[in-house]
Amino acid sequence: MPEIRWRHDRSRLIVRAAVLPPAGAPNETMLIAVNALLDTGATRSGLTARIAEALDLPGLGKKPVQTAGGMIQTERYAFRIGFYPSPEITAYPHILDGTFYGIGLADSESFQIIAGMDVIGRNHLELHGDGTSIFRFGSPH
Amino acid sequence: MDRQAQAREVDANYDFFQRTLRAHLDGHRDEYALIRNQRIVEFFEDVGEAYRAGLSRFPDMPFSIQEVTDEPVDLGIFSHAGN
Repeated sequence: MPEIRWRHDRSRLIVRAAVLPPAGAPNETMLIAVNALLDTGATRSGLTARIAEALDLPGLGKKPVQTAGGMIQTERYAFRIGFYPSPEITAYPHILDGTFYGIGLADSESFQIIAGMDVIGRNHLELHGDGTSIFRFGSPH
Repeated sequence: MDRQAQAREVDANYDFFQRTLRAHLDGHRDEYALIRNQRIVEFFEDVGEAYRAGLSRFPDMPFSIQEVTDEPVDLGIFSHAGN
C-alpha cells in the first residue's frame, strides 16, 4: 500500500497534500498543493474558501456545522484529495479514490484543508510515541 | 457558470430539501440528492456520481447536491467553519 511517513510534533498532524476538482469537472486536472490537518475529531473534511476559489469549485450545497458559537450553515464543495510522500517531494501525490463532499472553512495560516474521518477512516493511520507517524492508503485486507 | 445563479439555486434547493428531508431519511439516508429547480432529480450513493450526473443533465445550468442526513458536521476541537 502507498504510504507517507513523517514525525509529528505531539500537538497536531499536518502533512503536504493536494486538492483537485472532482472527476468530470472542466478543470479536473488542476491541482493545488496545500497543508492538510489530519483531524480525527472532524466528521467531515473541508477546505478554505480561498482554495475553493482558486480551483473554481462551485458551492454545490449547504450543511449545518456545529461550532463553539452554535450551529451555522456552510457551503459544501466536491473535490479530490491526494497526499505527497514527504514535504520535500512535490511531484506525484497519491490521489485517493473517489470524491469528497467537504465543507467551507475559514482561512487558517497553518493549513488549508482538514482531512476528517471521511478521509482517515478509509485508510490506515499509525501514531507512535517517538513521533513516528504513518498514513497508509487503502484498507488493509 | 454564473456564480450568483448557482448560489441562488443552492439556497432555494436547500430550503426545499430541509422541508422535505424527513420523508427521504428512511429510504435514502447517507445518499446524495441531485436537485434542480427545487425538485429531486435522483439519489446517488456517491457524491462524485451525483456531480457528474448534474454536469451531464444540466450543462451550464445550476444544480445542487444535498446529503441525506440529519446529522450536522462536527469539526471537533477546531471550529474553523465560517464560510
